Amino acid sequence: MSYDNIIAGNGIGISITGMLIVFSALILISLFISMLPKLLPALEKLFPEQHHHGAAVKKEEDHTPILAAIGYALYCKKTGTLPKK
Amino acid sequence: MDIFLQFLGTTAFATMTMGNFIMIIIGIIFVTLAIRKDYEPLLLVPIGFGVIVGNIPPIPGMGLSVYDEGSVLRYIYFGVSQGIFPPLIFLGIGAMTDFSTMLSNPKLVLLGAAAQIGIFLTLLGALFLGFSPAESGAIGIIGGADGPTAIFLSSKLAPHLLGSIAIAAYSYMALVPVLQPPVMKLLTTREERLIRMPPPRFVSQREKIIFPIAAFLIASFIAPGAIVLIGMLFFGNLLKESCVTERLANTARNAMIDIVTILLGFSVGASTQAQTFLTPQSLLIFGLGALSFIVATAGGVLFAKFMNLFLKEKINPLVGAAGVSAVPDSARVVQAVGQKEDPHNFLLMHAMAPNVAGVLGSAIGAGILWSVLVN
Repeated sequence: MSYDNIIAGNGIGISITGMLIVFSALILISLFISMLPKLLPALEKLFPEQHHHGAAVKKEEDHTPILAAIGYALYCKKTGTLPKK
Repeated sequence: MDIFLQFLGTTAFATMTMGNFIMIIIGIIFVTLAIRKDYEPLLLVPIGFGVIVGNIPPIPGMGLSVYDEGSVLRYIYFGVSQGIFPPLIFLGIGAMTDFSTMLSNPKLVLLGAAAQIGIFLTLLGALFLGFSPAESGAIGIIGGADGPTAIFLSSKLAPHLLGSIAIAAYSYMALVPVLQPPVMKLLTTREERLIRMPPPRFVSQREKIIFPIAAFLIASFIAPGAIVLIGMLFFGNLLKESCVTERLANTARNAMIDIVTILLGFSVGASTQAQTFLTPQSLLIFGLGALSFIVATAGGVLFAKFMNLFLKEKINPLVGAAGVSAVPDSARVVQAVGQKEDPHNFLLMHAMAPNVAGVLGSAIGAGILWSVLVN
């Protein structure tokens, strides 16, 4: 158990360099993400969106009837008007 | 009679050691925690049962344990010892990860980087305690709070410590709800915990498709050692987001990741024979592991507070704690701690951004340590 082990293993150098590299990589990714919305319009001009032969993106399902049924059931339960089987 | 006595000599009753008995109790505790407390059951049940199986003393001359040439368990353990299973798990994680919250608020990515301080301070701690640089790197990665990454790196740098490191990493990941809240509360004021953040913006499908390719290129150019883990993560994510490979994405995030988790958890558990596991080194690794989770949490929270010095739109510093990867448990902890102060404050979606950034950060950290310490 000794501070010399850290020096001998070049621990401080590895730690500082490691943190700097991790930060650099994630800062670059963060910058890229920030610029992405600005790049998209240019990309749209070069490669306009088109339909392809692959599976289509699933559209959001309309859950309104299910939500209405759940809401009605909860209301009936709360007011004690839930029909018995 | 001789044959019967000879048989009795081969039974576990005759060959069981106190160490094996202790490990079997630990295995039972893992299974109990998973079933009764719901602590990471998908991992702790296979690992716990594996610990029980691995500590039934093998019969000399018969290939039974993970360390015996030609045994079935050894073949399963091959996926762990050669670092095959962790990238496959990353493929599944990629296929189930939605990077939208991170794409909508890119500054939160930095919190995922800050929390990786846990890796590098633990490395210093391990060196201080007398571990070799390669062993210290493998122990340090526990601070990344990512089980597959810890297994991958320790299989490359310190295979003899793999069992202890894997068990420590997964145990502390299960204990995230216990370890993190005190640190988060200690380092933040009530006013800070009450900060509300604006809802994330809408992210287009095209952004989601471009991101995995671009981010992989950036990360792998900077840290090529991370290409195996990062490559599989972003490949899985591309399968998900491209919308044309739904079947592959489904297999990767369901059947495949489940199969690999079973094999990985069970064989890691079975590798913890008392004779190799119950050593003073393991105790030190467990101590350093706990410290690394605490340091990583503190790193994320303190960096969020530091960022707030320069930001007009403040970040709730609790979100920084999700920078330790432990997906999605640490994000859930952020949500729970935040809602204790304000039941109407929903931090989960914001916490998912540093959470997935933490996965990237720990994989990049592993790549760096691997390339620096491999020789």
